[in-house]
Amino acid sequence: MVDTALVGVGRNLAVYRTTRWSTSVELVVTDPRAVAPATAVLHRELDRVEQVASRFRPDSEIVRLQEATTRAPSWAQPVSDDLYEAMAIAVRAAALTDGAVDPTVGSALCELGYDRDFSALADGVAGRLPAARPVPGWQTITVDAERRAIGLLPGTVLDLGATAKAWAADRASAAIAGELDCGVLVSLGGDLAVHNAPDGGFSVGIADVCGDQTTTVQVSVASGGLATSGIGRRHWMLGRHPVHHLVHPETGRPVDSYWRTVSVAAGSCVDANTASTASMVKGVGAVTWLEERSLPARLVRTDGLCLTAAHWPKDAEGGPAPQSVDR
Amino acid sequence: MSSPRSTRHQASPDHVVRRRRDAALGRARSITKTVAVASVAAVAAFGIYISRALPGHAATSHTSSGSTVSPSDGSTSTGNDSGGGQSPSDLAPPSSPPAQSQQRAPVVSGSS
Repeated sequence: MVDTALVGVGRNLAVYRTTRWSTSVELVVTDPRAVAPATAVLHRELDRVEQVASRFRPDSEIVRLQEATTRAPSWAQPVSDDLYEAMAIAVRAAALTDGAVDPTVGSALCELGYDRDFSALADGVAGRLPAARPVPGWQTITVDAERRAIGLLPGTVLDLGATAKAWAADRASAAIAGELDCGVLVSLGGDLAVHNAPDGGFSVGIADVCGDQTTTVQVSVASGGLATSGIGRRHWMLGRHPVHHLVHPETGRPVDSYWRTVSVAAGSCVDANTASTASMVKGVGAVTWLEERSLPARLVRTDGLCLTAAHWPKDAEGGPAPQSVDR
Repeated sequence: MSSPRSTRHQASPDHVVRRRRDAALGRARSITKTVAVASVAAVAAFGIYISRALPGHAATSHTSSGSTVSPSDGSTSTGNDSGGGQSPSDLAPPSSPPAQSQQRAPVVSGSS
């Protein structure tokens, strides 16, 4: 953990910032006295999710599950309730997006060089773009509800990046609101969950990253979650090829994206991030897909054209610039 | 009324042999029927087991947070506080969409 700071914002809000998982972590509470205990709850929840679902920790439960499956293939391995829930959420996300958000993209990401913490990719990695081929597919995952067991095909590498971070935000936000009885917003790399928002909601900046330039607009969020997916931040060089973290399950290669940034609001952070990630994969069909599900969204095309869906508000003009985030 | 000829016929060695043959066939038919029923039952039981155990299939249950998970059709409803009134198999919309804001934003979505 680095770059930890407590920043007061306004008279009745307190903000705590730090960095974990190579991304920003922000906690906003409506009762400044609750910051310290809320921070403890936040890190407790993040620790738990990391222990269960991190593919970068050799001692995480998900890595041990993969190793056990490869060593001794069987129908399904019993897992903890937390990993079971994480996997159930990931499988659900895949099913509800017609496989656009697929947790079995881990091997494809590793072949692209993303087999280590993202901060280690800053200088690029050696290698060549792998041949296009589909990932194993979420349908190969067994979710045995009676035994609380998970089964994988041997050699499957899971990546729960599209759901686990959002799940952590939902968990932490709910736990803080429940234990401390205050309004709370938890943001993990911009995937945020809100509980007990103050009147008018929490004000949130929506960033659109294009090269070195970042533009933002402000919206207020009163409940549920909001997430933004894009290709502007998490990219690196694989040999001479620029690649990013959003993999198309049908090719195992980075999405040739129609969108630069997609922001979605939903009833939870998990659902918001599921929808924003799926929209990046679905491309031009995403607007209709989001409209059909009544999911408010703001989509920025790679040429900069901005579209909205399902009652997302028009961009406010002349609003103050959001507070810069120190990293 | 029985004739002497029919009486002789019932008592003939051929008739005894046929009766024994028929009895044996009856037993064989009974055994075959039992084996067939048992086989069908075993196949059905195995099919039910396979349908639950093969990758991509699972039974419905509840997660620890109160979510309902049906990976067989992929439907789940998370235990969030959304008020969208969607069925469990849908991504839940927010209870209210985001609104325009002129306020200073303490957090930014999409900057990292």
